Amino acid sequence: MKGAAGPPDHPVEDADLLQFLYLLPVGVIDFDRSGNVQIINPAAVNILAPSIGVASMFNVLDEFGIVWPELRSLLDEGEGLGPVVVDHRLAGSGPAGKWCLSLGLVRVADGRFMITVADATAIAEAERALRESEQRFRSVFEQTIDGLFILDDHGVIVEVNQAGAEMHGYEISELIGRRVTELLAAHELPRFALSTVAETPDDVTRTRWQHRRKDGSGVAVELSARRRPEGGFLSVVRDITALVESEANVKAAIDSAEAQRGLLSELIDRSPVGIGLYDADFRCMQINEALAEINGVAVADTVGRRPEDYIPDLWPTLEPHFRRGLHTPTFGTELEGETPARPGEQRWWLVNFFPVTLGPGRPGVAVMVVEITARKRAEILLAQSENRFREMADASPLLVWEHDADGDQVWVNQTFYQFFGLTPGELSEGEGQELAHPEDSDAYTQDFMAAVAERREFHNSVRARRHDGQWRWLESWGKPRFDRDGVYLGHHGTSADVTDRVESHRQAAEAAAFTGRVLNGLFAFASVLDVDGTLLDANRAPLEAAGLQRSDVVGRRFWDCYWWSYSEQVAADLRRATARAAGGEIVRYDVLVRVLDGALLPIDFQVAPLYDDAGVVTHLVASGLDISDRTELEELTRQAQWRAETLESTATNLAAALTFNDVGAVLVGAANEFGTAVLDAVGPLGLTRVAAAGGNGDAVEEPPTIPLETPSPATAAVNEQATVIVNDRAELLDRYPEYAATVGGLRTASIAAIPCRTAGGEINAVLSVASSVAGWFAPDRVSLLEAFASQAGGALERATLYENAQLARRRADGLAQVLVALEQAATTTEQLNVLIGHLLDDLADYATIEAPDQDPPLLAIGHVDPDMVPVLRQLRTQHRIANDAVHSVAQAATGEGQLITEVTRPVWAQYTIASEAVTLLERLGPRSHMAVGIDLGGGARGAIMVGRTSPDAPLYTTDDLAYLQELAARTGVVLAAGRARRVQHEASFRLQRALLPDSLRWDPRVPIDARYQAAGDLLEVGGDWYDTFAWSNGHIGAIVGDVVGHSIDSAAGMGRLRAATAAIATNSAPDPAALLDALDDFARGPDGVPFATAACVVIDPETGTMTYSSAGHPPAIVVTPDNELHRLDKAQNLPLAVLGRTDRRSGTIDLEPGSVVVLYSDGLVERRNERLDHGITRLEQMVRNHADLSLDALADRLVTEYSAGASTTDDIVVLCLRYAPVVSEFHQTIPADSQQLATVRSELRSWLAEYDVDRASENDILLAVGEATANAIEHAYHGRDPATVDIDGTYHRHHLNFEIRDQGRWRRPGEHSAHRGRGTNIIKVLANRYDRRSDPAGTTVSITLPVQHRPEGSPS
Amino acid sequence: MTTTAELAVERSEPDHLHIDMSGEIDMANAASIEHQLDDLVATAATATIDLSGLTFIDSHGVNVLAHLIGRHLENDFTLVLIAPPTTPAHDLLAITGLTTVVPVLEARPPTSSASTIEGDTGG
Repeated sequence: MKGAAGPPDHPVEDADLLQFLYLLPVGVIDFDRSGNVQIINPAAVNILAPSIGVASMFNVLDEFGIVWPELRSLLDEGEGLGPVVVDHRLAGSGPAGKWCLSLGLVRVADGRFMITVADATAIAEAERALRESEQRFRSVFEQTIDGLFILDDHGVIVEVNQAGAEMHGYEISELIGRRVTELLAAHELPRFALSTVAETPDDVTRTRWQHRRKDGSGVAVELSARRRPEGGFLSVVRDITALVESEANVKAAIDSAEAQRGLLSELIDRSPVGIGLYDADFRCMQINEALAEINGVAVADTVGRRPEDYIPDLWPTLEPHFRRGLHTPTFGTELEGETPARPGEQRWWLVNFFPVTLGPGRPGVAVMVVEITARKRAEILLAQSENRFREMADASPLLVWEHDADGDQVWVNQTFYQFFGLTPGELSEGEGQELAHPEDSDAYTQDFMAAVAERREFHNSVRARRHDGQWRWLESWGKPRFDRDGVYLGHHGTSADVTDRVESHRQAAEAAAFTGRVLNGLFAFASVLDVDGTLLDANRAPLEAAGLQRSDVVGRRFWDCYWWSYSEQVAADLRRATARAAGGEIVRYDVLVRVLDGALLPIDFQVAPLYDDAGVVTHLVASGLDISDRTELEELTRQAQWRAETLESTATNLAAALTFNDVGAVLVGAANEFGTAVLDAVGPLGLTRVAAAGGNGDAVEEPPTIPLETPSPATAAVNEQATVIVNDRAELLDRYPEYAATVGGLRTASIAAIPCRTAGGEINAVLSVASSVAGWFAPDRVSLLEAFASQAGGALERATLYENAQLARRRADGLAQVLVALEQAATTTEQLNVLIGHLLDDLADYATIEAPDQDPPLLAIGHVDPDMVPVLRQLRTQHRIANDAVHSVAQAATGEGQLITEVTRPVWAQYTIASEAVTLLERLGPRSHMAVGIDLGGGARGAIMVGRTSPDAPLYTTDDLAYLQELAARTGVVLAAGRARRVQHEASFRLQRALLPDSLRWDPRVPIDARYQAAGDLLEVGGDWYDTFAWSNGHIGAIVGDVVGHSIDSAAGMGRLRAATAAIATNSAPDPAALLDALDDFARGPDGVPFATAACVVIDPETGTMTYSSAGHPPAIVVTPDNELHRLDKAQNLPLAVLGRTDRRSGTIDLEPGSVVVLYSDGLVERRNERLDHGITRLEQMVRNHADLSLDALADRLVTEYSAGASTTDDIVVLCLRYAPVVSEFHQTIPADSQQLATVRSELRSWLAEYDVDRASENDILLAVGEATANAIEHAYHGRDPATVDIDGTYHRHHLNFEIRDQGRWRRPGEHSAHRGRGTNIIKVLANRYDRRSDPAGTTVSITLPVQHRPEGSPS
Repeated sequence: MTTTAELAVERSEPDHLHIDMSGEIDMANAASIEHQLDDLVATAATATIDLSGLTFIDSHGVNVLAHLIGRHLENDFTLVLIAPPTTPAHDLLAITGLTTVVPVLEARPPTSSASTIEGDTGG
């Protein structure tokens, strides 16, 4: 229980997390598998209190047991962490009204859960209100006695009520999906046109039709229809057969004759329809009972009177109809009003008026009346109810939708349109297809269609694209609809935008998971107190931790309980905190709680008030979290930090260590922290001590090299290729007795031996650390030492390279010296002797230069021991022909070099059988031997042969062979120039040519070209030079330098510098400043130069990042493809060889593809009587003017333009490179117009012309790109505004990639575009790859086409 | 720049046509070419269309030829195409399968004798 002495500080993260939970609007309850609550946040309390009435919660299973019975089994099922239940709905009603909860269950750790609680009351309320309103509409719809038909825009019956079906002798299900015209009698069809039925929702038309029943019989109907705002029609169909029959009978009777008046009277009297006959003054001649009843005026009180007398209120309405009826029949007039029959009640009638003849010269009017009040009321109610439903639906925040029995959407509410930003027209045209997220769409649709097929309830979620383009989570609930006969009508339902809820659930789940991880397994304290501090309940954890029973603490003052009573101060603090909480404060502090055996556990403690609805504090909640492991964590963190810092400083020191010994010193110094540390290098002979550092005052002895066969921890680490740990003296004596007996091992009880490895995994050293403490090397110490060792392995490898580089540099110096000496030698013989002398100085104990085709073949000979020269000469002259193969001069002269690492007798035997030769060889005693070819000029080839005889000299390696080859190549140029002496200038010039590189091609992404022009005055020889390098990581370097002076000395200095650079560059990091520093070291050396400048750049072809540095040299120039200029003058440093070593700066620039970089010597910018800066500006202008040229042409142009403007007094170097990661690109944007196709072809042809693409490839490319472009033009813009098509191409050596992009929507080929498939098929045949992607932004076709090139030199 | 093609017509016999096409055919001028060819072959029994001079032809051009055959099939109309191996038309006709419905010759027969052409394509 470290750190228990005082409450530690809070790490910020925990406090933030708790605060986050406290502020979270979503309730979070954290509990274990038994349901015991560990944490409950205020939001949970706030939401749960008014709903399921939980104010404090100790066990979720107890509290949720009734309302969520499956919770217990959910806790036991499954294993994985994460959400178990996403949206469990609980609903009920309480004092504050109805409520609905959305609960989520998350498994945050094994046996640890969280419930997230969100208030879904508002959504549930909206759903319920909507459902009620819809039900009201449904019940009215179904109960109306008139036929009700809902039709779509095309007159297809979407819905029909029972009355409507019965009226036509059908079942409801038989009518749905039929066209309403199928119900018309055949003779009615010609005059039926749905569109003329009603134009607007307010416009109701009423017409009479003859309908046909299922059995073929006719039925007279009156049809009223109005357009529904959401599309389609609501039609009320009334059976008026009785009315029509009676009309016909009466009319026939009236028309027939006076004689039948009796019959007419009888007909009128018996008619169920109200009938009255009136004369031209509208006096009633006859009236039947039915009409009298409607009027509420007896027959006797009506006959002989005018309606204005007996139904005065109605007369103003009736009069126009009566007047019109005298001469024109009008049917189906709907009238409304009150009659004396039922005063105060609004009634409706359907009335026919038609002219009759009451006798000769006596015109009259017949009136037929049907009471329709009940129907009319139902119709009004229906309209109101439907409107209410619609208003309700449209005002609803939910998306309401209705699908028919096939699953097709037939209606949606206004919210739906608004959500998606669509109009009804767009939706019905299928624009809704792409609304769902592609990842969810299929599953959602399948589930929905399954629900339709199975007639079951539907509940699913889908991401949908809202009008603003945002993806929102929509949760949908759907129910099947059935008519009274149980016939399935389709699904209807609602969708809610639950994005915010899903998001908050997700956040809560994340927070919960995090909290769970933090809290899992920790002690958590929760208790509920009275306002006066009496403990009412506490959770299990603190009780168990302290070995208490609930009864031990419940009812006691909280601060008097066992947990706190160990200290009066603690108890007093707690008492004060309780009082402050009772006053409404949340009090939080760290405190120690007493648990079993008197142990004290640090906790983060809090007392918080709980309020009732009135805002009065009713209870206090005391809670706390164990933070003891936080203390441990802090300790661990400190350790980790120390380790990190130690490692970092070791790494820094190792980086600065140059040699093997430096590295060893740094390493053992760091490891010495843990004991006596030694570092042994692994060599062919065994382990050699590199460095040692004594720990604990132990003396460290310097042992001789230990063979790997000797048992010791270090050799075991090498042999087993693994870390060896011994933590016990007895084990050490047992396993490594020899080591245990050494001075170093005498007091060793624990030892760790750790191999150091190169980047390639090869063991190059062993770090051993010994301690007199047993069991010292615990895993954490070992892991740190292993980290040291792994750093050291790399550092040792670098040190090896460095030491090799030192050798290389020495050789570079030597090469430069010999080249100068060669030039200064007067004769060929002298030259060859210079060369031999140099070889003997540096590389060999003996050397010969021979030319097999010349006479004599032996041109030069030397041995470090002059007495041995005759032996060598005898061997090389007398036995040369006999031993044609010996040291194979011919082979060396023509082919690869030859290396015999170790010359043994069996090797001799391969070359000679002559006993005298063997004797000579024995006297010469070669141990190691090499031979390489050399160009001797005039087409003559020769060979240089060298060998070592000294017993302690190292054997030749492949590096030595490479050096000898380099030497032969460079000196060969000088020799080849001719053995006669020339004028000095030519010699210098030749030297310069010899020293400058022949080839500059390294990487196709960084083409380089360079020019050297000697000074115009032949006596002025310059010291300008350039070179390029490639590193193994692919970086490319270029350097231009100038050795001051115009003499053979400066030319020689240049040669030395260049040779040194070549040797140094590839052994150092690809960093221009480091390279210049290394050159500076050389320049200041014995074979250095008096004064020199150089500019260097290094490019990473992968990224285009270029670092640059200049040592007193004019800055490099960059011109971008946009012709923007950069002068790289941010890293100007001191020239070479002027002062002591300085750390040079380097600058960085990211090259845009296509950028040109120009390095140059001051000869190119310097003119007499002109400031250097002007010259640079002039050069920059030249480069900008010609940046488009090929590098070859650019370099030429820069040199010529300079020469044209100046009398040259200096030699000139110019080096140009271009960053060209992608060789070329094609781009064209055209209007979507087929007239543009020819332009595209023409542009493509000229683009392809640059690459020598063969004729057939060109045609294929034109064809494939043309087809894709034509498709884009033809189909993507069908019926849309004209737009553009983009065509992009990139050229690669063996293929081309094209993208053809439009902004239209791809449509499947229709009938009108039957041939489109042909174009696409052509592309597929020609292309290696064809891909088409469509999204709302447009369609992109990607094609990869193979490309063949014309054979070189063939005409284009 | 627009797409242009030219038709040069030889009429060896009243109902035997030889048409040399040159230039380019694509979506831009396919309809117009189709129209011209349609008029030309309306009364012909045999038409030889030499595609050697075309520097570019795409699927729209192929469609013109395909439609031409379809339209005049009832009139005992025979269409023969000439497309030498190195011309743009040659591979395209193979790719699009037109060679299976129209005889395609690699060169114009030495004489413009109609009987030779018919003989070659009689199978």
